Amino acid sequence: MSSRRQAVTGLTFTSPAIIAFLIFWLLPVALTLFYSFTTWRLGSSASFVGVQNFVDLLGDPLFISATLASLKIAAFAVIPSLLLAMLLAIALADPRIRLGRFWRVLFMVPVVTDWVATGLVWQLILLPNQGVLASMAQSLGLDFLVRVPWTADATLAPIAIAVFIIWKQTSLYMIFFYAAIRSVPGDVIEAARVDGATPWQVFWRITWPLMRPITVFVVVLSFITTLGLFEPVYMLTGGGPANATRTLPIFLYENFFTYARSGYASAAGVLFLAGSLAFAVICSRIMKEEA
Amino acid sequence: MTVVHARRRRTVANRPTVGLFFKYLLLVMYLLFAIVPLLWMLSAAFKAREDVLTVPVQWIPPTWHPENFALALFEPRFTGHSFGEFLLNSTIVATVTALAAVVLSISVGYGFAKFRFRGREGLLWTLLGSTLLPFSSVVIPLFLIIKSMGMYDTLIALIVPFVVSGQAVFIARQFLTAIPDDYLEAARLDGASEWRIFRSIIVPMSGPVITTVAVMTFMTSWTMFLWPLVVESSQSNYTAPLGLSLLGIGATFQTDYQVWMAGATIAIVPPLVFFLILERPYMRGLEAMSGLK
Repeated sequence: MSSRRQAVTGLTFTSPAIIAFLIFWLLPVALTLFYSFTTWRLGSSASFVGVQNFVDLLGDPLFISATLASLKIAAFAVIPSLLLAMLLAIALADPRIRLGRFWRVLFMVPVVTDWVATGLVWQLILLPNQGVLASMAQSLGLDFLVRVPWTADATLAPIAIAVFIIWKQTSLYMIFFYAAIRSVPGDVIEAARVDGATPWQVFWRITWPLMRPITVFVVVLSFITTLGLFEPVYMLTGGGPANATRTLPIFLYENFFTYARSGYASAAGVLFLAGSLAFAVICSRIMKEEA
Repeated sequence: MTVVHARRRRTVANRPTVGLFFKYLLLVMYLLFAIVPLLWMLSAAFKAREDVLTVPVQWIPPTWHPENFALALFEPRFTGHSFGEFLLNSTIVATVTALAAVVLSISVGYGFAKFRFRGREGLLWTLLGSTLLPFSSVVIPLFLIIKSMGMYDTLIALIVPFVVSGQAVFIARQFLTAIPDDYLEAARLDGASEWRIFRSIIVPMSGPVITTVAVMTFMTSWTMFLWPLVVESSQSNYTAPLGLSLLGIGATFQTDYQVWMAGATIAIVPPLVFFLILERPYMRGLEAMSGLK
């Protein structure tokens, strides 16, 4: 086939999806960028103000606290979640473990359920005094845990949300790690073992170096996804108490839909996007340099 | 020699050790953590109101109330609408999105896999990169676009933005790249048109991609919440998660915990059943996604 015909046919097959993608994903990003330089309120016209929105944002204690709350919840959720996912994947990849598929399928159940339904369940689990956790604590004689207001205390609420996220997401990351471990050729490991390598050595010398690229992918994916999560916060605390869990997605949502400060919210969205992209780029650079 | 190796292998790899015990312990503990909240939900969905929050926790309902499910489904709770209607909306939206995503992903995946053209790599990586965008950061402009297209407060608004996903395109492309070019060349020599080749060779061979993309898209669509919250205002267009969140907030029903849990159980069933039936293609899709590194 001539290269010209190749191009025409290729573009014909790809164009429907590309057009949809341009309209619904790239155009929004471009528009956010545009509006971020305007003082525009829903229902009125936009006027240019240069970088004023960005200056205001950096001096807005609510924006700073939203950024910090997002980072805090993401760190509380992602770090334990990834460690747990890695341990589970290592355990599951052990050939002596029976019923490997049974474990994997059951572990995945929280991942395929939705945030709202499970959010209702977690609300009832975390309810002080009557909740499932409080009730179990009381049965076990751990009375000090009964009255703990998990979602209404500024220190505990981010942790409660993080636990909910860990519960929901860990198995997803486990599947990625598990696939990575399984992709290491079995005879390489076998050979190392026959030569007297301990399981510990096998993991750090063979499996881990081969897993590094996927680990970078999972770190970037998990951190950015978690930063962008709206549902767990909305379901458990709605941003409270005070501003302890008012994360960036909640901040964006409120500024746009509740206060109609569209330009301002767009600028916050741009900073959020830029931060996520920068994080992804830095992560992959660091890992490339080390390798 | 082989005998020695075989014996060695058994002693090294298959002997139960303390390590194995701890691995099982970890798996059991995590299984409890993952499943117990959902088992509690299921049990609460069958309980009478006064048995939901008790000390100690009652794992088996003392009296069974399957009518909670009927209440959750059919009792009009929200300005005359029932949760059943929201489920129907969710079913329509998720099914149509999944079907459209299958058609588009195979077509675009084929274009990327089998034809060379300028900007191909750039386009592909931009598509893939978009999977990393936090959805909440583009929700505002997406809302404006949908509104300017006159789709605000319609079910179509819940479908069109999600018919293309970088993930689905990537999975389709990976799969279709593996189809040997010889098949296509032979068909071309026989004078088949490109459309004919697509229809008679590519589509029939895409079975695994079709299931994977359909399952993933259906689940994503079924479980989305922020987007319908933003773009739907009439309750006749609400989806299951939106309805559920109202169940949780509505002051009148604040204490009907057993009905919340029945509603939550119903909402969880469709994606769960899909997953259990099509677990293999779904897992394969996830693994393919991690292949993009």
